[in-house]
Amino acid sequence: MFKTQYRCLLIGLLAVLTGCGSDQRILEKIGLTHTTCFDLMPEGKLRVTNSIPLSTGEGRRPREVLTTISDSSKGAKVDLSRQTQLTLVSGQMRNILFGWTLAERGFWDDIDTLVRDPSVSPRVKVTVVNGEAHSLIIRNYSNYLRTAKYIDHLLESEIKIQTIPKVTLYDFTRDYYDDGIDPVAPIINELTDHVKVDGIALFQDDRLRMKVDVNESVYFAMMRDDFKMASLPIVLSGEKEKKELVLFDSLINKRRIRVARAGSHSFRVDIQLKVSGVILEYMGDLKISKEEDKHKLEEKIAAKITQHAEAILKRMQQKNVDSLGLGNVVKSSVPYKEWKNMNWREVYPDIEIHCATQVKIKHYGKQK
Amino acid sequence: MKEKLGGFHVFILIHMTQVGVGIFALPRVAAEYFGYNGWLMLVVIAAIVAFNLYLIWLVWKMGKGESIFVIFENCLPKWMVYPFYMIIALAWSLSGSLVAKEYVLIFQVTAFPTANPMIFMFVLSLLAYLLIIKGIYAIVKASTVFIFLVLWMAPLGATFINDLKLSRYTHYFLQEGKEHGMGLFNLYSSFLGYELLLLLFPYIQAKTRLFTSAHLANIFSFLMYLSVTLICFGFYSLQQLKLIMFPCIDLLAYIRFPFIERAENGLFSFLVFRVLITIVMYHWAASLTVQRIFKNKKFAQVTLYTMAVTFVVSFMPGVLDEVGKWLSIVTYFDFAFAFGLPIFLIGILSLQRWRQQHV
Repeated sequence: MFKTQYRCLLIGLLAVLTGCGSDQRILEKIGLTHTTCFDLMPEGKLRVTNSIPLSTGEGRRPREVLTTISDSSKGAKVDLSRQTQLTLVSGQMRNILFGWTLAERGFWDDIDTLVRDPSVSPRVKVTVVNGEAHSLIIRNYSNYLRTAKYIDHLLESEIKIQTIPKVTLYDFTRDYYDDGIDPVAPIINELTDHVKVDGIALFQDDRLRMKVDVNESVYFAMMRDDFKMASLPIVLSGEKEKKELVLFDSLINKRRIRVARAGSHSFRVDIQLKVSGVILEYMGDLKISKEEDKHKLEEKIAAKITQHAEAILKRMQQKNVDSLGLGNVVKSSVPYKEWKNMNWREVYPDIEIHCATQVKIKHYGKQK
Repeated sequence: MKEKLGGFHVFILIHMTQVGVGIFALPRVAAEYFGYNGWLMLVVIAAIVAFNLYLIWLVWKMGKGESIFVIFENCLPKWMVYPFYMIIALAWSLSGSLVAKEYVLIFQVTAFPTANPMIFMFVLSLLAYLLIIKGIYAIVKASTVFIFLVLWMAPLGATFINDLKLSRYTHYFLQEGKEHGMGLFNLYSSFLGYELLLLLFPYIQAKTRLFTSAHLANIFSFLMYLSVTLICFGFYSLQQLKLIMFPCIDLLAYIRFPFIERAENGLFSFLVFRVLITIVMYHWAASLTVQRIFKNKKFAQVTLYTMAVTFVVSFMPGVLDEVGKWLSIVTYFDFAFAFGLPIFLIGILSLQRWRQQHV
């Protein structure tokens, strides 16, 4: 009895071991795409660039960059693999970069194929390049061996300190499909010898409509969600003789949004920000160790934050992008039928949005 | 003395049989058919199953733990019973084979896409066969080991806590769904497997608290489904969830360990243990039924033939959608047996009792 069972097992094993030859993957023979870039070409075609890290052992360059022009991203993959001795796979992809013009036109088709592909991780980051993604990725930046990895680490560290939001394929798709919020993505651009985070791209559906400048991105982050950490330099008054600035550190931000009806078809949204932090640098006339002056400073900072936040909100309404998800807040306050009959895109630009900020200085460092 | 099954064994066996391939698509099914907060329907299904379990318990009580085959054969002629047995056995055995094929095809979505699925299916069936011929006690012992091999994955749900948004559990209930009847049936099919309890009667200790164990197993399966579905509803936006074929695998793909980035294939492979017990139990039940007809044949032989027949049948549906369709047709039969058998048996037993009282 045992013998027949083992014989069966052996036959089974043989069947499996020989059957999957076509799906075999040998590490030395595959190219693990790290970053893929998409750019829109003038005639409406797509330029796809892949950056593939190589092991440097055999005197090879640290990475291989492949480019092709094609009608679709998947078609490009076939063409790219013709250019290399490696079998291209996307299981270890970390980043997707979209060129500016493509982002303005909308790139849902390209994202859709990536979301559909089970080999692509939902954690792949989605990033917009201010300019051409291709030219940013083909360059070698002298301080770094592998450009793609450098960009990836740069984004990771910026996400950690909250200057840009974490946007992965999963995040982008989730917000794209949600009817009460629009997706966002970080923007990077190239400098002479570096890559720099340039701000946040705000989308309407899949089309880039507005850019939040990098200096403003913390204010945007404050309104988007609760967060911790980040340091925020604020210029309270910029006149030459009376320059007053403060570095607000170890921020803890709590956001609350309230919705009330304003008339039958409109709403009033109140965004309340509670920010607490530490002052590590202050230039100005106030004596922050004095209780009174400290309160004055708190009010000044609060006013500045409100001013920046409301400016962003105004532009967002003008461009009709609901990147903060105010639609979802409204949705949770109205009955289902009303929400379905309402065209949020039409209602959103006209709603009243107010921002109020409370600032609390926790301490001001080691010195009085 | 012959070994008998205790309450804990019944609990493990029923839970492991219930939770199979259904869990992969379950959150999508809830979202697709019931829309906002579709997870609520799981409560309804669990209640229906609980009622069905009550019926099965009644059969156990009224028949004093007698095998259902004996009850049938005592009151109905063989020419009526045997064709009926064949239909049940075919449905159960096909359920086992199709579940195996579905698992293999789902597995091939992420790994080995061009390999022949029947090779995997053959190995899976072989494994199931080797376990079945060892008998129900060996199956129970294996399930006890297997449950620990899959239960450790439950805490992985905690990794999603930061990404869940309360606002996604809107105050809208069951809006934007469609075809509620179909949806109920689809959700219900993920709970099936408990009906095999009917065949376990002769193996259960007389003093086992069958009712409690069976219900606890159902509640445990329900909680497992509920937790996964709740995570999906808080993690994905509704329209997104409706479009994801297998949200559970997608969730696994999102998990990142500090030491490994894409762990889903590894994690997914562990779930084979859940599916294996489902396959084993359906084939075991089918073989047991067939053996009632061919009493002089050995159990191992009967199992081999029934499994071989449905293995060959399962060559026919080639792609995932087809297997899904076939499986849902077979599920109709399973559903009918799950309710029909206990009701029919209660009828027979009441009739017998009535006759005894009036003789």
